[in-house]
Amino acid sequence: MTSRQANALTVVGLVGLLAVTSLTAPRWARLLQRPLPAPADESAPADTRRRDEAPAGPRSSINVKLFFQAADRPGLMIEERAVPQSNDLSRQIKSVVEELIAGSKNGLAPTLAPATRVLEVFVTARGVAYVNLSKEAAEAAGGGSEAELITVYSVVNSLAVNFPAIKRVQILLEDKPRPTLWGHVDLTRPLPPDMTLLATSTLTPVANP
Amino acid sequence: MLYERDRREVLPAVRNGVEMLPLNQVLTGQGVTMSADARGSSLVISYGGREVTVYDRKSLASVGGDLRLLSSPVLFEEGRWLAPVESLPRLLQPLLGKRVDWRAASRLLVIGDVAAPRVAVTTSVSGDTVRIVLEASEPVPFKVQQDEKRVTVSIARELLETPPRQERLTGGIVDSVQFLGGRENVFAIGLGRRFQQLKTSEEPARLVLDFQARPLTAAATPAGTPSPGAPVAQAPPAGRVAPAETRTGGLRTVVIDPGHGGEEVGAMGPGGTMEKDITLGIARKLRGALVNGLGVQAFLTRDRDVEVPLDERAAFANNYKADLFISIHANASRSHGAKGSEVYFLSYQSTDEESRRLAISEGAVEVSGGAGVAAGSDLALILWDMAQAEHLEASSALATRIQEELAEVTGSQGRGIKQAPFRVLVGAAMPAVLLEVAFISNADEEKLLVSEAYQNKVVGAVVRGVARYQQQRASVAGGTTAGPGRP
Repeated sequence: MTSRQANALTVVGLVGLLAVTSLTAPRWARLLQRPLPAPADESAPADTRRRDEAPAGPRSSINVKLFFQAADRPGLMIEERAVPQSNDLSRQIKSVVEELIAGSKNGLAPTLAPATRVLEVFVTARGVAYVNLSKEAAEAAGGGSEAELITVYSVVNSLAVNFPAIKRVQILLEDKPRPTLWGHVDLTRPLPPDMTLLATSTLTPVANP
Repeated sequence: MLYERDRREVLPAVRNGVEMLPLNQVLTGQGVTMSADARGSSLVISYGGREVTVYDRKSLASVGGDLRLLSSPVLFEEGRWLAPVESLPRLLQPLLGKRVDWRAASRLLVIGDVAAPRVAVTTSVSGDTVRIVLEASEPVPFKVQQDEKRVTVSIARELLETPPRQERLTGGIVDSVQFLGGRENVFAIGLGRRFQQLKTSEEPARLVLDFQARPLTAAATPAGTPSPGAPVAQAPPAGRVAPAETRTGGLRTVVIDPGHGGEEVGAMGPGGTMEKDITLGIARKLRGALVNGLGVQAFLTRDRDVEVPLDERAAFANNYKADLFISIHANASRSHGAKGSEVYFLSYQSTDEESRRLAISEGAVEVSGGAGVAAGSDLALILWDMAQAEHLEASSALATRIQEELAEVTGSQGRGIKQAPFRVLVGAAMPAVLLEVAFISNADEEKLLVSEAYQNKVVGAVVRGVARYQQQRASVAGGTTAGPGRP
């Protein structure tokens, strides 16, 4: 008898667990969901979210820091802006790079050609983000070291600062690693951020004797 | 077999934490036929009457009629069929009818029968001797070579497996042990200040190297003073800077790299000046000044308007066994106010070891038929990446000296020595710097850059910087460089 009771208890327990799991499933599914670039899936989870979590309201946004070329002097400057939140890291990174391409709203200079497209972003478990850009990214004229450093690190720094999981970033062009954009900065491996490229006054007020 | 000569780099895609390789890229040159069905739900690969079928988003494959389980699903994505790396041997071996091996540690997918001996390296220290033992899994030909700075052991085998390593030792007998790779599978052992002699003993499949030190007391020659018996440095030829010969003891060859060239014009000034012309002009002047002023040999990576790939420039310096590598550039910024000179040395990622491991684990995967390291392959990449690592301190010192001298003549404020991951410096196996003489994008500096007077000032500053650097190195190195006189 006791064994039968125990069995019954187990069954009840399992049914309960099943209920809990299936009720929370959409939430799990969203967390576990991975890239597979198909723009169509974006809308589906958004809909279920609205139904499941009424209080959360429609799509939320996050504030990101974008690195652009300072207008009046060499170096990078930070501009903050809100971008729609995505539960998928690769997609969120893609949106940040697209914001960079779209350019500054506060008069900072662009670092990427406006025609550049983000072909794909993928992130590895070890914190490397691969950003696959279209060829327009390398088409700017007159790329000197400074301009090239600024372009590369506007992307690298923007991702590393906004996503703690991203430790290094490698820019690919048209699906392939390229030695450099314009003959200087090594793009054959992932790069860690470099905050020394910030325009001087964003770090410290001028204090030269 | 055709593809046994072929060693290629294939970039993996990572999906759901699994490394995937595009099948068509992996199978290029293998003579297979691939046909996908119209809806992209399955792909049939056939070769010599055998067939393998994989299915989009399924972890099952049909191999010659048998079902095989894969470690994760195959994915059809934007025209590419991605298969999990780990499962490739299981899929391809029966198809191709030859060995297919995934060697995770060395990031190699080996197709075909390629014997790759494994070599283990161990180091041990006892008293005044450092013992380094190379142990191979089968007899291999060891070739030991020694010059004043290092001992190299090469193993002429097509493919070699060795744990990626770079070891630094203290004690001054052996400074470093690293695997440089290349076609010859070179292990390089950097000799320290106290190194005196090398004894080797070889058995098949095992090489023992004993590095013996000179006793500590003998090495303690006061810094900068040549030992009494040493031959007096040759009198400087007439017309040369008098103290140069003694100051530049040990400095024999400098390679100067005029940035850009050919179609690749570099940056352009508002007045139409091209960076490639400025860099060549300055580099030629610098060559003359170094030869005449310091009595060294100096070579240019290009002496005309021609495009030279970045890695070839460093390789050029390596081939000439240059003591210094100086790359000349003119800067450009989107900010018109940018001006001044800068001297760069390579920024190595904070922890070399970690980045190297990352490079290995995240980098491209090779498909190998067994030839030596091809240019651009992942293994070559990693080893190439390590070339500058052991010279960073010296590169930094050289950059500092040159920048100090440049600041005197150009009056550049606020810029100075910097670090950046410049590709041209990565493969240089000697102290290496990149000079941004001035901003060609700044109209005032563009005018300076084309003026003979300014170019000469810059060249003079670089020569003084090099001389001061070398003087400092000679005094730090003490006994070793001041010892045997050099013709």
